[in-house]
Amino acid sequence: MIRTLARRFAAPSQTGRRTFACSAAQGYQSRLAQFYHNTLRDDLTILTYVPPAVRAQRDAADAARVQASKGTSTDGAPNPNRKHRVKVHRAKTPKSTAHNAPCLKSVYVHIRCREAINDKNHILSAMTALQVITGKRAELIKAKTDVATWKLRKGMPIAAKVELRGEEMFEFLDKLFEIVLPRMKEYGGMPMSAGDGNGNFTIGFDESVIGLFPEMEMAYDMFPLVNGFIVNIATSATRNPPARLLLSGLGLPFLHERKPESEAYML
Amino acid sequence: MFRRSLVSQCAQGMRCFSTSSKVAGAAVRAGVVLQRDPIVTQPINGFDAIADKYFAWLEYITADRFPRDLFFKQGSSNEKSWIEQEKVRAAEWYFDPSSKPKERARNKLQVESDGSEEMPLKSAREQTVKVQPRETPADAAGDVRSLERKLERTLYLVIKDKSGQWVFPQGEVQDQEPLHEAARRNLKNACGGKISAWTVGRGPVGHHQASDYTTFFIKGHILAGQASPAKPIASDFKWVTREEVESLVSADYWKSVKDMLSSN
Repeated sequence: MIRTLARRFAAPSQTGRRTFACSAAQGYQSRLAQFYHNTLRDDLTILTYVPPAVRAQRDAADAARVQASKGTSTDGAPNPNRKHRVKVHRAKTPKSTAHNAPCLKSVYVHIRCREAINDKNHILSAMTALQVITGKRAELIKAKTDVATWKLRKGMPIAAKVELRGEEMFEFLDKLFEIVLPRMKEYGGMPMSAGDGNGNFTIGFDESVIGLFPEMEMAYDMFPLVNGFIVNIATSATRNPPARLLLSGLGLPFLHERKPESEAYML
Repeated sequence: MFRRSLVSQCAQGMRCFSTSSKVAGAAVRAGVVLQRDPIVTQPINGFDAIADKYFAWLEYITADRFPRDLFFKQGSSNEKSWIEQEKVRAAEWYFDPSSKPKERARNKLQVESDGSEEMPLKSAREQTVKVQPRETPADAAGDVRSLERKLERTLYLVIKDKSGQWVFPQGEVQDQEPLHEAARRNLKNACGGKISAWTVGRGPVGHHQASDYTTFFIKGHILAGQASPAKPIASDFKWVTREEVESLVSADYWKSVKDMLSSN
């Protein structure tokens, strides 16, 4: 079975493809995309808006801190700001307007298959699994370098990835947030420390989770090998908090202290 | 519930409360633009629907062959219902009819064990899912107080105030009271405590300048409950779409509030 799929993988494909006829477009926007555009985007714009006066204050404070860390102290005392030298590698947060509310840019799903080192046919399980859960054909990733301790040599197939954009991205996240995460018994949510600091989030799942996708239920028994998968979500936000707002709004839970609902929302 | 974390986040966005209750000598009021979000997806009609169908079909004919043997056991009822669906899809052809390939060449749909083929098969989706109409009983009855009307639209709560004008729930800001708290309190006074609502952030999203006061509006979403207008302040309420707001409120008021309202 897996072999026959392997032959199909051999031909390179350029067009975006859906595995599932049942996910064919019924409307030009999926449910989650409509929710984002109609409801969530306005709220994000409101919540991320910084009034010009507040923004000017912050900019002035930042500039003063940078200046202080550069200059030498006049009275000879050690400059307390010196050790907190401000590094300016990160992109400056753009001014928040009605047109740049945080949005999703892309989602990468990939599966690392360590078993493929011993038998490269195992990578086909990973590629098929990716195609089943995302509806797009997976791309093969080969090792860039030798790693002697893993007996990995350059050029060996080691992982598979899928890039999702647009509607496919929203459909995948909808499935993940609404079906898969609630089915996981032990999942509490993303820690507040998650994120790379520049508005991108990564979630890793172990091999027990991939079977929770509704499409995998039918085909799960056919897979000789099941791996965990990793989801990288890139957002247009330049810092973590607005990206967290976005993902939280789309339905990804975060772990933080919560008030009782009655206190927070009843008038 | 995403709203919980949004609430905690919005605390970081705004450093200070808006507390001053005098703006250029005029009294300040605070109101809430309380909305019910769309419940179902928006229908597409006309050209959009046709274009969408065409692009879905293009995607279908350029797609890889469905790995049928991965998903269905041979001869299973699921496979049969999929084949039925597939026959319908494969019958469509939008290009020049002479360019249509033979169906057998495009999709091998023959079932190996063809025994009882006479019984028309319903698709699995038809068997299990009964699609409900978009029109609800509230739409049919023209009940403008129901939260279950116009499921694909954003609805806004408007109340009839003492002077008989339709407005968003609003009221005076007390001395040293933060704007967002005043807005919530006024919503409660006007519409009773039976609403659970999340108000978005602490800053206003718009304002309306009347002759003797200014009203600042905070945006809100209804989470549960229903309005029950408190008599002296509000005599009636409606859940209405943007167009209906325009027909209810005064021209002056509409000019101030129209940019806060969603067209969907």
